[in-house]
Amino acid sequence: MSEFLQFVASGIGQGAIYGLVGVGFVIIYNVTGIINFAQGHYLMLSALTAVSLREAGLPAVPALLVAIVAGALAGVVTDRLVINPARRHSPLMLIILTVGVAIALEGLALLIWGVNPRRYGPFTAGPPLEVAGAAISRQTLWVLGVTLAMALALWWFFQRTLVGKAMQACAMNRDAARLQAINPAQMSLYAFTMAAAVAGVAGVVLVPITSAYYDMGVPFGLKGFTAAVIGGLVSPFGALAGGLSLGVAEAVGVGYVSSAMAEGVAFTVLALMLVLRPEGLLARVRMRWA
Amino acid sequence: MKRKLRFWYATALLMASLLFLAACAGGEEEAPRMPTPTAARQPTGEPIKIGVNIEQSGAASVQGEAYVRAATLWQEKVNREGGILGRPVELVIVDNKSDPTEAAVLTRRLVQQGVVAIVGPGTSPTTLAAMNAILESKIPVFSMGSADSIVVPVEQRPNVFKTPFHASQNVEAILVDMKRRGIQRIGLLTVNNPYGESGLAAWRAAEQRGEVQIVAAEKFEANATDVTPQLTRIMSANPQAVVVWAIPPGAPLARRNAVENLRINVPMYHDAGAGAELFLRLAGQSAEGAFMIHPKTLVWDQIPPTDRQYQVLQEFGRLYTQRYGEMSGFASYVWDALGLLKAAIEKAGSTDPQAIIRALETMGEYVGATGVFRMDPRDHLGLSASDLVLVTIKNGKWQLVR
Amino acid sequence: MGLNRWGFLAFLVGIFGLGVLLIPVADALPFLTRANLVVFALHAIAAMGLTLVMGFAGQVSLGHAAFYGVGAYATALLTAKLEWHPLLAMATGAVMAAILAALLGRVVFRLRGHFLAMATLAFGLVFYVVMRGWDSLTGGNQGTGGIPAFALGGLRLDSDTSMYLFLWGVLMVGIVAARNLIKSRPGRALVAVGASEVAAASVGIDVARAKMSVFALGAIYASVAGSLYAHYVTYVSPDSFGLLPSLRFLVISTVGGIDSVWGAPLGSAVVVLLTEGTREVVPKFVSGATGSYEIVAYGLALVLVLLFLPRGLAGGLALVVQRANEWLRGRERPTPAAVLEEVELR
Repeated sequence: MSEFLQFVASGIGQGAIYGLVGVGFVIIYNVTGIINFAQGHYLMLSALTAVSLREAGLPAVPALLVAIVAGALAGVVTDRLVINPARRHSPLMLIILTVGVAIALEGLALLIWGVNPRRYGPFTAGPPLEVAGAAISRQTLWVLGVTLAMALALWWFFQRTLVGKAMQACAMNRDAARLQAINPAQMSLYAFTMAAAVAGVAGVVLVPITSAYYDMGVPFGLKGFTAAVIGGLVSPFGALAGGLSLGVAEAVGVGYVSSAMAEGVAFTVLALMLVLRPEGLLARVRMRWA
Repeated sequence: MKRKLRFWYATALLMASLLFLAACAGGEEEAPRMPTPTAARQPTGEPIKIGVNIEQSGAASVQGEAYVRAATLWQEKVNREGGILGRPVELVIVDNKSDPTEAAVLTRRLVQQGVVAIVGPGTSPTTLAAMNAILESKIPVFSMGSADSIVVPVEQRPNVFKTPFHASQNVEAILVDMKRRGIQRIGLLTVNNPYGESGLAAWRAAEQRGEVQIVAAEKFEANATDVTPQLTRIMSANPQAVVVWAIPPGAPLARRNAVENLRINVPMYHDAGAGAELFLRLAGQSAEGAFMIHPKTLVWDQIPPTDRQYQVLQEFGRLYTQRYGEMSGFASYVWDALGLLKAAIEKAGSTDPQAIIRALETMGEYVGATGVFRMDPRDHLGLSASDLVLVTIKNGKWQLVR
Repeated sequence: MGLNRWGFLAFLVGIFGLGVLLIPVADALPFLTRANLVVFALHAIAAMGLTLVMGFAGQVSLGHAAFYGVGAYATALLTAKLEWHPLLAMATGAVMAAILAALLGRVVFRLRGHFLAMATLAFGLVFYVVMRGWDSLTGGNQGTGGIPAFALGGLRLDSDTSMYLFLWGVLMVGIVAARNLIKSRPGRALVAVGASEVAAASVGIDVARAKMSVFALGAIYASVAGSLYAHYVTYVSPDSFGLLPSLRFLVISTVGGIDSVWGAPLGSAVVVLLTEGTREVVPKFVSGATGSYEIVAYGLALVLVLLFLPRGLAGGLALVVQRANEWLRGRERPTPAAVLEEVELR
């Protein structure tokens, strides 16, 4: 039993990260119709920036905040320099453009930070917490707390602010939104900025658990995408739930099936989801954006 | 709209140049210039070209960086000291991006550019993909891949050599220590890539010989963020020791999860790939007490003067740490490959490929930083497991156990 | 514009001459070798399959390298372990790839939007994981080797030059097949599907079936290229068939242009030139520059090409030809499609 709990505890920690990356996919896909391949790369940029700032001696809180802003800026740059000038291209072309952005960002990170993984310590030091025989590291608690806070913030944003509602409108029907004087180009900018910022948050809380390195963007992007698809690619909360279930499925898969195929678990889930329930696991609940 | 776009491009340009400056500044900081040496003899004449085909980016770039650093350092040293046969050495360093196809194409390109020998590729898949090109080239090629099949069977690999220990030799050396501690039942955690695979195969072979009992064998992905589930599984089989076969960031991650989350109290062994300075930095406090089987390079400053490698280790260790600040566990493989080539060219007195290969095979002993090489026509590695040492970490420093 | 028999022959001789001409070009350029030509042709053949899928069925595949891998592994296992004839192994691989694609298409084409993109992404990744995990069959991460060189009767492709010329021949067959397909009845149906699914369905075209067949055809192109890759390198490992190679095929197709059969060869040539060119040029400007600069340059070039040439290089070239024609003849060319044919003829 304690073994099972350990798998679940590990899985939730990883799954929360997948979910946060997945949120970005959902926001961008709904507002612009683009699957953004550079999503995991924002996480990477924020994580590495945070490491550099911490190494330069900046205190934790400002360092992490600046790093998140840096990640968000990468989102702004993606939208303004690449997506916006190309907005008359086909969606297919836009998706491939984000592949180009991802390649360039990865190269840039390699240029600045080199190949070696780096890391800083957990936010609060101390031994892991024991829950019914399962060890949960303190940083995992931070990850969960931050994920919860992000969920609340997203709920508030989409439900209570004008911009959030405008973005929802854009997601529902872009042409109708334009008739309501909502500028899709502006919404696209907001979407990219938010998606990158959320990924950035995931990046800075993730570093103490593992480490930051220049080519972490692709694997995290893929897992985040899978999380988003499990959630039906329609709601940020679906993506969070999808991430958590993916993380747990992976960890339990390692525990009881085969660790060699653990990565296969995620992608088989992705394939099955698309084939069997392309509307996502949570569609029945008729999730709105909030 | 147009003006707005121009504004964004200007902003981007500014940011890019800032980043570029930052990168340049960072680079300078990293590489303090060597004190200008008193040149022995200025090498003259046509430079001797040696190709260096390395994974500078992609999956294997952590090793690749150390390899390129070692190569650059070696080139400077040799040209400072009069070159080879009085001629300067020119290294042609190319990045194969850890891509098997590119590694093969680059091998052909280097051959066409007239290199007399090639160092690299640095991993098993890239080497095996380039093997056809390597064999056709007929020039001496040193690989840093871990698979035994790179140089075995030697009849089919007449011009291929390697410098890192076989996985089986790493296993042999760890087993010596396990026997001393009376460890029979082990749990094995390997990274799910070619590197981990070669370690797993070597351990399975040892198990078949009856030298050890593997009670649990688990794998994890190279980019995993948490291997606690795998370790939990391993520990539930109750092993007397855990062996982790991985490179950074996987190896230090496994150590951290084991110590911090599971408080594992059995000995943990890592192989030589676990990554020296990166292991220390990434595992932090948790690194304390971990065992690693490694060439003597990690503890180069603790080797007694009576050791045969003392001179070589002192020189390599000092040069490398002065330039790059800290020792790398990988760098000596390229350093020695280039050193062996130099010695062979000097012994042969020419840069004829066949003559270099013959010289390598008949050189007898070559004292390198990795170990003492004794290559012959039957053995294109020439190292033995006794060249490996067991090290541990005490107070954040590498310590020689025996 | 129809072609008579002589015209067609001239067309064939033309492309063959172009292929041969590339050899001295590669020899003359300091940063290219004939091995680059082999890679160029391999990628062009595989990417042409993707061009068909994207251009003529309006679908995007993010798992194209998996079909390349099916061919490569089929050849590797059948020729090295069972000593089958290379052609038979290649055909088996192609059939397997086509069946896999048809099955995947059958399931996925019921769905709308980007779902094929996602499903192919998942398919490609699962293929990659299985090739890594199924040790006993594929050799796992260590890969599998011992593949003989391609031999057909007295012809043995064991040098870069012979391999390249053979590949160019395959590429020619591929181009001709694709051209004929576009002009055939099912081909016109496909173009209609690519343009507007609803309109195509309304004139009685079985859209799902049309898409499925073009997807299977694209998989065959990739699989044949994969088989030849295995013969060329004589060793295969999963890393050559993961996500990054899939993205590379995508880049080749889009940079080249997805509405012309010339897109894939053009795109492949550009990617080879970009990769090797940056490798050669960048270190001259930045001393001590390593791989990272090349990657940045590659990514930026990709973004710029796509930003300014949304129809790819083939589309851009067609536009240039059109403008030149207008200027020379002082009259307007009727349609872009006709212009494309004009390009093909020259």
